[in-house]
Amino acid sequence: MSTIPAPLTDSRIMLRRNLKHILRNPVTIFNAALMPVVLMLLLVYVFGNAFNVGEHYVEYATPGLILLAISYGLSATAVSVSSDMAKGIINRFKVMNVSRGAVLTGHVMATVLGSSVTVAVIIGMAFALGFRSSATLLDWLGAIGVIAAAAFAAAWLTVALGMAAKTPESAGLTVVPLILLPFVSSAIVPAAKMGQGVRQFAEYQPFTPIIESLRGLLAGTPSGGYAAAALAWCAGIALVGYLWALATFRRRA
Amino acid sequence: MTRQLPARDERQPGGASRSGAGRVGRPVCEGPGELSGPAGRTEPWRTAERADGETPGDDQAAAAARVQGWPDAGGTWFLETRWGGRSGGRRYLAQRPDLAQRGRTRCQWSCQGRDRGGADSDRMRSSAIAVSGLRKAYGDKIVLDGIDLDVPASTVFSLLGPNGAGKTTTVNVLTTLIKADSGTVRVAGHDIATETKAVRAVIGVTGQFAAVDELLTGEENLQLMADLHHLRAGEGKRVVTSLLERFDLVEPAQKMAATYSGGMRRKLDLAMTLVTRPQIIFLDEPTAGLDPRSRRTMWNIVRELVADGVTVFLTTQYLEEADQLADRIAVLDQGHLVAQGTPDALKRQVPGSHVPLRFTDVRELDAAARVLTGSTVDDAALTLRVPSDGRAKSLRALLDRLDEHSIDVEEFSVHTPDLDDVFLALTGHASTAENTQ
Repeated sequence: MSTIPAPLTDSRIMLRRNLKHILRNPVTIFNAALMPVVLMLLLVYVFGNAFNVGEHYVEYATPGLILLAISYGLSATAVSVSSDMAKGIINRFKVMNVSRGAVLTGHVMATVLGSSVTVAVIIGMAFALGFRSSATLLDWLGAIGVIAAAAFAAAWLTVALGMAAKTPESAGLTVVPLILLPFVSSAIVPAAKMGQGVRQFAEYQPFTPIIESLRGLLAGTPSGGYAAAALAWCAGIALVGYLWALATFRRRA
Repeated sequence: MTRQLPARDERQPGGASRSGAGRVGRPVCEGPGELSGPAGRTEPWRTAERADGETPGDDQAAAAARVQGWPDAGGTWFLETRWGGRSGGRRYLAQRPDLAQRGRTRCQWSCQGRDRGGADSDRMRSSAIAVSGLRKAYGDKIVLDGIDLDVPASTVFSLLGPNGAGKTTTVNVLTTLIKADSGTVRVAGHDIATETKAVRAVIGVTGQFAAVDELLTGEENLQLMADLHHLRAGEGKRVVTSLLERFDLVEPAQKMAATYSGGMRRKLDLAMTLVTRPQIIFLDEPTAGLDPRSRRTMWNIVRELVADGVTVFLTTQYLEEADQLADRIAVLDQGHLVAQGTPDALKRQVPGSHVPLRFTDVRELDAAARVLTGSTVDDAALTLRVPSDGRAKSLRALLDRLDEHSIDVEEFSVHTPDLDDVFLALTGHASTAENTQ
């Protein structure tokens, strides 16, 4: 017997299961990376010059595209969680003294790892398209921290959404708002350039502080205010997702 | 169904206690004895051979033992003794070709060693599953309305009922998946409400829908179970390999479960349940949707489990399945248990066997009805139901009598009462399983 507590061991076993699922079906990762990559090419080469953002457009758009890369990976998680719930396998786990949250944390960790692959692709693309950063090593670490926090929060919320969805087919749609939200944030154009109403929405929705803090870190000009707001949003979303997912898990036999 | 089932109950619990009870160190039933035979008679029994030379120790001798036997085609009977509800793993062979062709293929008799009131005899008497006053409703819909059950250890208990009777709900409550509204349930002596963890540690469940991970291979599915049970790496590997062999899944072990046929999935599902060697296994409609061959395979697996001392709680809507496998059957209809007992006891509740005679026209039918008094006429089907014990002699007499009166019979068969008849007799409506079978 190992000395590692059972919940950790169980979560690790579940993570391995979910990673195997991703490896068996790598097209989900490909799909998640495809849209942000296409968008990046479109924005940088086609639209970018029309937007007056006060800096080199690829540098402006990269933080937003990183968030989009995370968002696009979420529907696969929602579907996967929902299929687990719809099939007998979940009842098997439930009658086995497996730690309650292990199934959920397995999905969350696998989603975060999947996101890291698509985010890496986007960052690689950005550099290939002329992205230049004056960030220090510390800034980069901070950026990675913000990305990880955002991915973690989004993953918990997605697991909850997938858990609450009635069928795997509808689960994929529940994350659509998470994919659309970055477009109504400062991801592609600054919020200040938007119309009345939309601008206020963009300024106060969670993606804006996350993207702005990331933008500051990658540009080597970190902003404490945005970072605090970003982390607070991430912590809040993760907590809501966690509690909601766990409650739904307990309720659904 | 080709098997002939005698209407009498040949399994008399405790009805054939051997003489000589009290001999220390040896259970009396292992020596010469009598078998409570298929025809309800006691028959002399002689042990021909023992698979091992050991005599059970004093502790075991003090406990009640249950012996179960079954013959092979040549009339060699294999007997197995169970000590305190556990399989003793000792097999005895006895040559009784004369019993080979008779009736049911399984007999039981019980014998009593010197009972010192020890722990073993307590365990023997204890139930694997004890349910009383179980109720469950979803909103206004009452799914289970006061269920009482008792399943002795190392037996097969079958909950029989049509779709929607509440079988799966019962299994879900008993396996701690859902909470009952009221009533108490003890599984392996543990209360399911307060000792959930202890219950989960001893049970295994194979649900109605194969609970396998389709994106993992057969081997990975089993390994996942071994890991979740925190088996040591070497031990886990060994268990996985042996289960793959036992369930004939070695060849497809490296293929994704999504590519498996229905029968293979069920086997994998059950193999996953067995990774922890559970004492009590719940099988919720284990053969639903399987072809006849896979169903036979599944039945054999269940029989092997019971021979290993496992208690099996089986739900089914196939009446033949309950009859084939179960020691006791409970019939569930719309949340109520309408009957409980041995398959044979249940079959006694319906009219005896009869011979349906079919004729080509009403004239012949009427003529036959006049000759064969006491039979029932079905004009629409041009059929006459003649009560008969189904023996060759009485059939010959029946046909001779029809011959005497020059009555031409189009078709005839022998209908032995089966559980379909029981269901109809008990609930007043037909089992839905008939359509699907």
